[in-house]
Amino acid sequence: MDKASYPLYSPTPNFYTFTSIGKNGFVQKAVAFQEIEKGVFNIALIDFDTFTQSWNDMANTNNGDLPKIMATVIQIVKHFLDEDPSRIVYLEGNTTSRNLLYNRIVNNYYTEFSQTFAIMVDGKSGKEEFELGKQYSSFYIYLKIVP
Amino acid sequence: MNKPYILTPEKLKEMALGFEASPVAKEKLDRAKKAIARDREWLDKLRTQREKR
Repeated sequence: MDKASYPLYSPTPNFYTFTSIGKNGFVQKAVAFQEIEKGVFNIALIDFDTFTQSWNDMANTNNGDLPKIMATVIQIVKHFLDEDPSRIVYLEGNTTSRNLLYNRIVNNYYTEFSQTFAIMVDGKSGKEEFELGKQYSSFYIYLKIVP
Repeated sequence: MNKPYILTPEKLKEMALGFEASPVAKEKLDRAKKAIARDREWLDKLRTQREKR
């Protein structure tokens, strides 16, 4: 978790912003948590479109700084869950391709994720623990509790 | 390279409050709500386990 990350700013509860700096220049990004069930929050990774002056939850920035963005998102999720350890974060892509990307990211960063977070998934026979290399439709992320 | 978009805390707050999910994301959220409601037993069990520890 000590990888370089972007400075964060949280202008409102459940909303964190940071600026990605990469091959396409500066991109204002945010992570928003939307409560979908008591204590369960959808995580949305969004970009600010300076042309339309609105947030875009379908953007594909490709700014060449994914490792730094992921380190930042991990910090955000940790901060959000530290505020209330009973919270559960729900992750599902808005599209099939976005979900494939999230599966790839969770697989690639699982070693880091698993130091802090437990991950349950929607498997073929209901909820199950995340297994490396498998594809899932959605993820439930919460803080590991150290006894 | 484009220039950084200079944002004041006030502007960021305004932007945060203005966030609205896209129709595709809203559809996904509705699906997720229903799926979680169907699996409430699992969620309650998980919560209870965590509260006990």
